[in-house]
Amino acid sequence: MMLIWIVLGLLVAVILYTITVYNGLVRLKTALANSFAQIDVQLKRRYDLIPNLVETAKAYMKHERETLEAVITARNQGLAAMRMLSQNPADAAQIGKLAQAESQLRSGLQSLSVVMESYPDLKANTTMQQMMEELTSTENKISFARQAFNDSVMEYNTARQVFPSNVVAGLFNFTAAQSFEIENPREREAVAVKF
Amino acid sequence: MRQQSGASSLSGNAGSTLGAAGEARGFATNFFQQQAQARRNTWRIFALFWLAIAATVIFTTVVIAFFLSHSEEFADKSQVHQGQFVFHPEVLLWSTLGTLAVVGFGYLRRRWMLAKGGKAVATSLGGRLVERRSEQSDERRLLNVVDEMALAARIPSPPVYLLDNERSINAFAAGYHPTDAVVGVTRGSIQRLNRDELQGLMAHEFSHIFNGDMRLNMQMVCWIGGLEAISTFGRSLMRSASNRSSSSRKKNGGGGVILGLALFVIGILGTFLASLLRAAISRQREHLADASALQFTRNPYGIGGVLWKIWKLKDGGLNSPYAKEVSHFFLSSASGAGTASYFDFGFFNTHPALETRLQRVCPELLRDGSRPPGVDRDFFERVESPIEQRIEIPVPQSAKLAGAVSLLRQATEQASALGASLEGTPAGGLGTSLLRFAFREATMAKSLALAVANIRPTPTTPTDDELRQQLDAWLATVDQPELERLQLLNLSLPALRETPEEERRNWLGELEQLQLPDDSSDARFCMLLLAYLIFALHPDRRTPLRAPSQAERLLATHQLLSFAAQVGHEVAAEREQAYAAGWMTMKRKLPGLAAQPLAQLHIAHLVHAFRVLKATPPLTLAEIHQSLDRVLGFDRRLKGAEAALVQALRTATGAPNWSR
Repeated sequence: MMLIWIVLGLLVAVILYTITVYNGLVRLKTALANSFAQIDVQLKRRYDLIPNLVETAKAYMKHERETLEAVITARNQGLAAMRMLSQNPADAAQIGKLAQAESQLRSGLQSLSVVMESYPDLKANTTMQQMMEELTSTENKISFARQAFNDSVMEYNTARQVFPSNVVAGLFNFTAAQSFEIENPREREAVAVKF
Repeated sequence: MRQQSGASSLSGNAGSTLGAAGEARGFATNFFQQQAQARRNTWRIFALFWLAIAATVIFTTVVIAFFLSHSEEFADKSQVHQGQFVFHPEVLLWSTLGTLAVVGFGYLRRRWMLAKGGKAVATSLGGRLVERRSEQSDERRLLNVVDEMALAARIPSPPVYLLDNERSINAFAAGYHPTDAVVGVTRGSIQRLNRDELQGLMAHEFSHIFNGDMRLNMQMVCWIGGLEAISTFGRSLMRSASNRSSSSRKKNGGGGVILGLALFVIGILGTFLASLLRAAISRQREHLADASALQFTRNPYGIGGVLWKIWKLKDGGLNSPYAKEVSHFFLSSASGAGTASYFDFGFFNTHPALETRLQRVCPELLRDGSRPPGVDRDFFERVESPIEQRIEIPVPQSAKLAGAVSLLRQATEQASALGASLEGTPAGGLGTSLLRFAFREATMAKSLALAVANIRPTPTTPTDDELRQQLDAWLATVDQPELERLQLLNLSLPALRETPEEERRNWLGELEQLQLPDDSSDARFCMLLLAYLIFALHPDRRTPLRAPSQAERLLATHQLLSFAAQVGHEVAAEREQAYAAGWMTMKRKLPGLAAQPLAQLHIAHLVHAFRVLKATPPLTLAEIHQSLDRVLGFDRRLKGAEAALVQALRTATGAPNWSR
């Protein structure tokens, strides 16, 4: 009789423990998804920001049409690729296009900020300063969102690897998460926005 | 939950999956170990803290039990015999209940006092909510940085409060729950820190929110309040028992005094020990927050730069009298360096020494002569010598004409001789007959005043044009055209005063109504000249205002500082900062007011401000002049128009002049 009670008690303890670990893992996984969504949000935000920036710059930069157009074209391509991706996230061709547009956008913005150096009026323009601040901030937000995502991945992966949580993780098929790595090292560089 | 997940991640391969930013910057990533250590230390000390609380409570119970078991009165009322064993159940029950009641009362009282949400703390410190849609560049930057750090810390972005009146570098987080939390930043921080450092500062505060430090601290403070109640209870017991024994000479009174003394001593010792441990925990949490700031920013020069600047400037103190009570909220000790006393060995500090923190965060900055990026030699000069000394104004050349003018007014031969003697000097360039004539004759003086103020009279006579041409030609050759124009206006005043009162009233009345464009710097200067002219000449405006109230004085100061900020600075953000800097020196302030836009400022306002200041007692006036100097000297350059403003105000209000 006593033995039955002990076994029953143990069973209940195990079940309670499993539930706790399961919930913890789910929470971490949700945080992970949220962190990933943040990256998306910030990328979109940048695409929204760029047309305004270019409009303001246009008024001052009469001779830099090419630079500005390059930025806008890259932005439009990136946006299009992102729209396609939102319909079919596994489309490898669109991912390639997005990556290409992103790298063009980066170099475009970089040359824009270099060109801006020779337009003191434009640099002094309050709207432009505000916009550059927003752009700097968005670039930062993108990298912080990536970093937060990677921190989330680390927490999640650690939680599902340590004993005895790994038993629960294996039981309910919590697969390892992949951290956000950028293949092309040049893409890691944030756009240097200078004033 | 957060703490657990964070702690468990340490056992894993901490450094391997760092974000791109951390790897790209390439520095030692031992912040996870630092966090783990700080957390471990916290829980160790926390256990000791509980031990101290428990020991004090148990000891108190035993002392009360001992007293009860020896008390005649208690023996009379209960079934316990006097002198019976201390651990008699009934004795124990009553003594435990008594202790818990006292401690509980102290706990709840403190809890009730601390039950303010984050917003209340921020407002009581003089914080102003930075609106999400703020357009000011420094506030925009602050909000952006907060958002960035919220992303990195994975918590919702909290409301941000700005402590406008605090010039030091400091920040705080308040609120017991991430959803209720707010962060506050001093104005000094957003002025003196660059973007990276602002990130470090915010990341540090976010760590306090993220790790629930405010709640932890409140818990400890409340328990300490409970222990304090024991000593308070003991003291009042001592007092009442000694009163009773002296009045009724009852034999039992002595016991009450002894019990009171015992409880008092226990309470004091317990409070002392618990406060010591609380401070130790608080220091651990600061280390944890610093290490988390590294995790969030992956940049040692962020939080490192902040600590370095506070360390080097020896300036983290706050003006708010309330700051001391909540000093543990702040990034660095909020009461500043002034608290160090002979009894202070650092045991009660809620923050570790800045050097210790720098040693862990960014040891490179501790080396002699090393500076965080972006800090030049100028930095210290800029912050260490705010413009305290009075602004010196060069003597305009036309001032040399003053002697000639006063003689000219008597139309003597001496005057022309003096005029001729000035011919070779720069001021002599002005010494043409027309200008000299203008100082003597009222109609011409009027023309001159208008020309000086750059206003074209409606029926323009050929003399007006000629006068204007001569004036412009001369002004083009001088160093300080604005000062010269003010001086010329001064020189024309005696002649103008000779016009009949009614005529003057009409003419100046028209001038006062003049609408000037508010976008050109010359229009701003012109507004000053006209206000000065009206104040000096208008029959109804010359007199100082009779007994202006405090509110009127503050309003006048507000309008003057707004005007000064806009005369001297072209960039809108700089204006706001200069305006705020002006208020720093004032004892009485107008809280939460921004500089008044020029479109809303009229000549009449300035004239009124002159009249108010003229009636202001000298000490307050000196204070206002000082804050004006600070506004104008904010960009550390004194432009001509600024110098003229100071000069005009000094003359108008009777403050010492350049000719002193």
